Amino acid sequence: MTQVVVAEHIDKRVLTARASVEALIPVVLDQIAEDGSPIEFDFALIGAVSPAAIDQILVCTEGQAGGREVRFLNMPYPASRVHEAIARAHGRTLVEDGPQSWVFKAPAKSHA
Amino acid sequence: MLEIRAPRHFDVPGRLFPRLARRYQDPRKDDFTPDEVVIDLRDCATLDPPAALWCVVYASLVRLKGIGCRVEPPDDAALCAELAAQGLFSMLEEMGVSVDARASGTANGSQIIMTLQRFSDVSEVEQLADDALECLSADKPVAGNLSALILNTFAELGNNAAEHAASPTGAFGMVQSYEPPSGGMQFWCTVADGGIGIRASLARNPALKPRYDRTAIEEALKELVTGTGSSHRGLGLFGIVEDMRPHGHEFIIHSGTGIMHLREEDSDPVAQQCPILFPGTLAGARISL
Repeated sequence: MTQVVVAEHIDKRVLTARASVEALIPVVLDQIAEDGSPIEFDFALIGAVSPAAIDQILVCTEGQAGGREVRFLNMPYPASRVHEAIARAHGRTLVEDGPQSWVFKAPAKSHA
Repeated sequence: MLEIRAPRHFDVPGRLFPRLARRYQDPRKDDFTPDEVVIDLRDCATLDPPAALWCVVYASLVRLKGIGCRVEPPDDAALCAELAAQGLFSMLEEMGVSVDARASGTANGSQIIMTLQRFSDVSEVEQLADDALECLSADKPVAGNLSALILNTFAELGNNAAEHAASPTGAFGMVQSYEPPSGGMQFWCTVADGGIGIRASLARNPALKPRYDRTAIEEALKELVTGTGSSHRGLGLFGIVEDMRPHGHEFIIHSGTGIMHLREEDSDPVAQQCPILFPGTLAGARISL
């Protein structure tokens, strides 16, 4: 399991810019477990995470970390239709796993 | 001289002085050549954030052409003080606009979460959202999910302006709260730019060819429609509409000659042709508690 406490790696309490996510992701890739286990982002102390930032996290974890489940913990609000749409755009499914905990299920494997 | 006189209740620029529409000119165009522009707010008794941002965008484009611009502030002292507190007059003066503001009254009703700011990239938007969060947490505590909604709305609108508008004078935004006479609390998140507009922005994607500003707005609100051509982008405005519609919030978007005003009772976002052109794009959300 790769666990990243977002507030420890950014100097703001919001995450709205794609560029900020790109700065955060090398931290994830440095820590990433090789067993294909999920990546967990803990958003404790973060007041807002924009859809653009969420999308960019999924974009950035689709490279080396592709095919893994991505979990968001301590989100400041419940998931909505736009977050489900982000998941769909990445071939994933979004499920809520308890209050303020989101799970972007791994994309379905292609049989092509 | 081009004189633009604002109405008594100046809420959104789309409803500005329609009888003067033929005289209204686009300051982005080459044939815009008055020797001076005067924006006359003296009769205004109310002036909402979208109208304030129209003033700033219009004046910024006029000044960009090197044309003199003057703003006559409202005669109403309380309104004048409110606009001064928002940062409207100081922003205009910073752009070289002449403002004879004698703000001697006391502002009533509104509280500033974020004064009028100019920005040009998404990092600045993020910093502004961070500052606004501090203000929301410290001065006017609101539920976490509501402050997140306010900040996400501002950030999405601001990111759109910074990334897609190509505005030669940057983008402008502010966040304010009000306590309406009917009770409760409302928050206005407003962003505007003097850029190419939504139609031209979408047209950067060869797969999209919106013919009119109003149809471009309707397209832009749909899931995964984007001028970038990316298969996973185009969710910002779609998300805002999804956040606003079920909860009685209000959302207005005005780009070129297209305008859409979404309220709770609207089943689908429908944009209309507007006689008043916005020289760029204005988007504002009124979030109610």
